[in-house]
Amino acid sequence: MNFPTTQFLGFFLTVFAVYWLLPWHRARMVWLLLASCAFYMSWHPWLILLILLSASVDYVVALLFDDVKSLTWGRLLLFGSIGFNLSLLAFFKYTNFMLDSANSMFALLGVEYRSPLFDNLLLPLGISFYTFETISYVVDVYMGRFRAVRNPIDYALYIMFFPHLAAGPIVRPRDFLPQVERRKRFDWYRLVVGMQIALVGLFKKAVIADHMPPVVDPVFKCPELYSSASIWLATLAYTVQIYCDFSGYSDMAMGMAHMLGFKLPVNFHMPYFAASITEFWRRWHISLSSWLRDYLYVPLGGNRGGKLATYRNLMITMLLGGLWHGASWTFVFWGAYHGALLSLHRAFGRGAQADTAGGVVGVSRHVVCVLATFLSVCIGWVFFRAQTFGDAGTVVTRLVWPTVGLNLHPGHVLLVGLSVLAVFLGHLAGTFLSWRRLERRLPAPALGGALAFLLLLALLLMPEASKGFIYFQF
Amino acid sequence: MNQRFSWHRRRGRTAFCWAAGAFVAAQLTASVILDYAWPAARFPYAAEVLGRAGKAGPRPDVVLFGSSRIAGGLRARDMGQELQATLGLPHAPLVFNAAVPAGDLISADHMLKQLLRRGVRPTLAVIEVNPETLNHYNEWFFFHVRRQLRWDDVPAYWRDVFRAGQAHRLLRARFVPLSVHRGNIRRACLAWLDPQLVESMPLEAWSLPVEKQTSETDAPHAATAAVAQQPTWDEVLQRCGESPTEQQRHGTLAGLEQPYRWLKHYRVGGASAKALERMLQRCRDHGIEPVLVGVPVTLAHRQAYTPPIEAAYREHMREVSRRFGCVFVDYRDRVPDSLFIDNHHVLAEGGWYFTRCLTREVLTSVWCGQHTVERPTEVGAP
Repeated sequence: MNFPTTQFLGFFLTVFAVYWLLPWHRARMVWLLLASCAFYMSWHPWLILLILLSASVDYVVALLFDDVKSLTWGRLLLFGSIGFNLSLLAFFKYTNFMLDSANSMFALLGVEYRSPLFDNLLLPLGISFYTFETISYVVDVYMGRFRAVRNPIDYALYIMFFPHLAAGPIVRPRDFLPQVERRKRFDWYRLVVGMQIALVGLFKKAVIADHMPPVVDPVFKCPELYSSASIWLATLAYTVQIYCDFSGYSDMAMGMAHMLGFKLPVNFHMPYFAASITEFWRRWHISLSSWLRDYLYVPLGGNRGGKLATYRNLMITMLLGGLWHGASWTFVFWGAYHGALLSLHRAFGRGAQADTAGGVVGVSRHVVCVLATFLSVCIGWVFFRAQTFGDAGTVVTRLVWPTVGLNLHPGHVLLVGLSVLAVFLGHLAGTFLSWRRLERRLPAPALGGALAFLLLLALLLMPEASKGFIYFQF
Repeated sequence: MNQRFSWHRRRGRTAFCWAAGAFVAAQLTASVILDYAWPAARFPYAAEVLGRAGKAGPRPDVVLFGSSRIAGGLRARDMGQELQATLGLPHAPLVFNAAVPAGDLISADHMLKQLLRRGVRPTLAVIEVNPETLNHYNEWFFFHVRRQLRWDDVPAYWRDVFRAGQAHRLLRARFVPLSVHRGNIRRACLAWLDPQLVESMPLEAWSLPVEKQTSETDAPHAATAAVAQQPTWDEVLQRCGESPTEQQRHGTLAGLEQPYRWLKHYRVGGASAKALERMLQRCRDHGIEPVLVGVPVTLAHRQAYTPPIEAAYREHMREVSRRFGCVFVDYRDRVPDSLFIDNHHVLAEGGWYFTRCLTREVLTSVWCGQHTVERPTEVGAP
């Protein structure tokens, strides 16, 4: 059940109506949990057992922390729980990748050995996201930042709440669990705000992101056939696609949660207007980057051990962040590329940034920084999108070296141009306008009319076949 | 605080009501416009066919109605030449293929009504009638609710739509037409801006590009890719004696569950049977000679026609032919399986074979007003 589909709309309207018709808070939470189970089971009925297993282990471990007085036993439980979750993730996500890499290694050594690959191994939907959520819960309880939840329904809802189940945002227990306990009251204004957020997400996903694959896919499939201009356009198109796809999903999740009385964290904040790579990671997939910072970078030592240790920690964090995205060496390279950029920025960029000047010079310098960051990110997306290093190399070479080849259809050029313009204007509006303030000044009929117009426009412009979310595969 | 909260609530409720009202009003207005002012956005294929039929110039003498089986299976130009050669006419009669993909008797009736409205009065109307197109359970409502049913058709068809399990599609087509027809609307707008832009847009099955037509009077699509090829008659006869290839067998098996689905809960009646009666009445009212044809299907497809189905079909056809005084010919088993691309679509050779058989054995005599046989018995090359 994909978000921008009639099937999901029917599902959500039913869940929404029953949820607010139920008079008891506990009954509403049970209903939400049942709906979340049904949502997950619509993808694969049996894989829900995997989430339940993972969640049960962490629920019990967190409760045991209260009873365990010994530090050793506490640590053992903590690492046992983390190890268990990561093993499940590694098995389902990385088995084929590891076996494939082993096969390639044997082939390089001239040994004709092929270990059997698990061709039918399914990647459970959202496993990367809910694994991180369960880990953050166990760690937070162990560290004493949060008390273990007694009610299993509350805990299960934290993991399985359907708006964020498939592709985040990665929710922290201290942000979500208190909301589960709080009694909800239906509010028309909250509903309208939720609709606004969800509609913006729908527009990003269905109108912009879903129109990009016909431009991106053929070029990244056979980059050697296309001219440099086409490669540039396809790279730009993918840059737009991945942003609109993922932030669109996050917006829809936030909007739906808002309509149900929950607040999910903001996941994107005008990332392509970042003036440095460090700022980019504070604006892009914020829930993941902050998770990696709090549960990986800081425990590794963060920036406390000197320059070299900081660079090492940045590299490890980003390498693992890359691997988290997908089981492929191109993702690992993408992570390493960003780790290197972050280290370089830490080494050289911060001093330059501190030397801020006002007026035209300052603005010009800021614009140059934004463009340089955007360009670096675009090149990073080439490795993220390409199937092989060979393809990525061809794309990068053609980006740098003007080459003749096939050109894109004028219709596609226009489509990419309009999409880039839409994202640019969206970033501009998000940076310089306060939508909240603007919206409060609008008369209610005008606000309602604007919402209806946005929905009609999204329905009219969305492609005939809905496409899956890119981040569902992670 | 409470005052502020209640102001927000009131404002939220008003905004929501305006949003819902504006959305519903826009969709309903769009549905009325698409139904009555811009039907081409709902059924571009039919609009294209009707547009060609309504063009100035000679009016068609023979019009073919039916589904993709007729659209790809009967060759309009060859049929005209065949009639001319057999009857020794000075000019070849103009044969016009008005069959539509995924068509049945309801869409055929729609096409006939529209052609009559455009002043087309042919001498003969060849109408495809197979057992599945007469079943009261009609799966083609999947397409009809989207392509041709309008607000004023809903009272007459809603029972059949429910029976076919297409109620949700009917509701969507009625209440969110801007979403349902968005592809066609976009294509039409782009074509209006710049026809070149449309080339890059994916096309739906019911709006296949019209450029593929081989002649003005042929069907503007090639569901079986049949009309694009020109086999010789010897090649056709040679293929008649051959066994079906592995690819043909595969094609037949792949779609074999279709006839069983179409013949589910078989009972002649419902909207399809009424549409046939309406069509025949229209023909009679306008002096058109209707020819009802059971079109060729493979042996595997025919096996889905169980004896009760066959008996009900034959009985109904006999009754209809008698009531309206028209010809019914059964060609379902006349084309060998080696001339099919799948279980119910003929190859180019099969199309020619069927065209020649039907023209020589039936249409020539009906043209001269002499046809009396219910079913040709002689099997083989005409």
